[in-house]
Amino acid sequence: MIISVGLGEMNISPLDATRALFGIGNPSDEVIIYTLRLPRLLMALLVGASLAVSGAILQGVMRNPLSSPDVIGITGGASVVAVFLLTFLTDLATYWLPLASFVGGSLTALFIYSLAWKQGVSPLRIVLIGIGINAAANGLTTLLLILSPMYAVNQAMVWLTGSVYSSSWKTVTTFFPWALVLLSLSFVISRHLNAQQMGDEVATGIGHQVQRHRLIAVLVSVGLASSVVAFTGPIAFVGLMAPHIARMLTGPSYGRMLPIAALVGSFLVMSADLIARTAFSPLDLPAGLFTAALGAPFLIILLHRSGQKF
Amino acid sequence: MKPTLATDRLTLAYGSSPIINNLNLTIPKGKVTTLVGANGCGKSTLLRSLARLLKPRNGVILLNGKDITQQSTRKTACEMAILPQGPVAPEGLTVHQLTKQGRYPYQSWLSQWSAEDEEKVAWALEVTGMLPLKDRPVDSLSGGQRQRAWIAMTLAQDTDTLLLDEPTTYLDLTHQIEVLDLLYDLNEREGRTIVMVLHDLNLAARYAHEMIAICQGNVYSQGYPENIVTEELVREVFQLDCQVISDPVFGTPMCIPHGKGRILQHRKLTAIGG
Repeated sequence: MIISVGLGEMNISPLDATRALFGIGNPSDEVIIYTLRLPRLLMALLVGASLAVSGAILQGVMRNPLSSPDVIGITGGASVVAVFLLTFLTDLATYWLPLASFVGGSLTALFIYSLAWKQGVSPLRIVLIGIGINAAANGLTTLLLILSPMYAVNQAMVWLTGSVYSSSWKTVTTFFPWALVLLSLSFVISRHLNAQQMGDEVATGIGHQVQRHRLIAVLVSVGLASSVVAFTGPIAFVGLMAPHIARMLTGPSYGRMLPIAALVGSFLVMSADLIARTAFSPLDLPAGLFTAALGAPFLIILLHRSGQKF
Repeated sequence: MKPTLATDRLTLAYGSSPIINNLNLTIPKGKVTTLVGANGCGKSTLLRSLARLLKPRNGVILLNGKDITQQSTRKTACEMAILPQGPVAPEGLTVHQLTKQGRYPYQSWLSQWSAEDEEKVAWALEVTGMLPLKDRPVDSLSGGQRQRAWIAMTLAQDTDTLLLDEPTTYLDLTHQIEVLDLLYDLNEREGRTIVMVLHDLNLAARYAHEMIAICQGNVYSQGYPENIVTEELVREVFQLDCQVISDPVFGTPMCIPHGKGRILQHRKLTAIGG
């Protein structure tokens, strides 16, 4: 973390960075760290944790290792709304982007959920409908990009890759309460998530109210994913990969797995952002470009080590 | 004979086609009861509805005298545990973690993991012989061990009644006997009521006090296996000609299906027609 606040267009040594953090360093270092890098770092940590927990919840509830908010259309739905705003209502975009993409994501989730409803929702139906909606949303997004003026496309593309680069203290303080409430809520329901991943029949047998807790879990997951998308755009793969990495480290029991997933997610986004803004300096690239590049090898190494059959 | 489970004019259906119509049934307390019948006769459907996995179209199911749809599923889970057909544990879940799931209905916001929970889990692992394997992932176990792990979970639920849907499917003969012996002991030593669907008529007759033969969504007959398993029952329920003899070891009814096969020269099986 200290290295992360230190490195950037202006490199600050870890020692100086630590001193600046404690307010005893060089004043210009303090300005860079406090106004630019620290909020960005905190945002990366929060976003990573939220995406990871969101994915972990979905994978358990859907009993499907491939489900995550970006696969079943939640981030896709948010993207359509956001891109529409970025390309056609550019004036509004600055202020309304977070709210609009949050609403887009949540509405999409609601839409998927109600389409899947047939005396209760079955996980497989949600996943299948979600994948369909996701494909439709991606198509719409592409259509919007093609129809829109050139200068807006670039901005939209950056947003679509997901980046924490515009984070300020204001974004951190707006996002923090959401993340805090939803993350704590997910730890509270971890017992129910354990029951959910046993499958509907076993869960009913042990006295679990399957449909009710499924709705609550999906709401928490969608809330986390949508709020992330609202502030940073859809940072890919964290929601899919971080829970898998955590599960290999701790096993599938949610009480232990969720915190580790949150840490893994935080670390992934933080490192991805560090690479994104240093490797091609002075170009400041979106973190979303590197989350997959970082996480995938790690996941593959873990898979080989544990010798699990997938 | 006190019933533990009973149905009153129960009608079950998937979609619009009724599977079971106006069924009245009582299942005795403290006994081993097996449901037998041909494929598609409705026995698993019936068990699923008794386990509240399938809502009745009509009629009621009474568990210890109370309508099962009227009480909370959590309270029901403290009185009756179920083991569905072919359950799948999340990958990497250990036997111990699986067994702990059985304590779910006893936990809440206020009362987290207690000493009693720990004790019941330890007991469940002990009686199923899973203690030495408790830290192994369920998906790494053999079929028989896996089934015992699942039974350990249902036992940790500490209920008087246990419902099992074909607990011996996919197991070889040794493991079938192992699982059935375990259930038999639970009934003998603890007086727990056990209700299960079994495919093997001979094993069903041997382990059950009470047998319920189901044919086309109705109870064909119910009672002690030695009283009800006859050649006529097998013909009506399974559409199979057979000879019923007394098991030379246990004395329980044993069904020898007719059909084809090698006949050794010195045997005279006059009963086989055709």
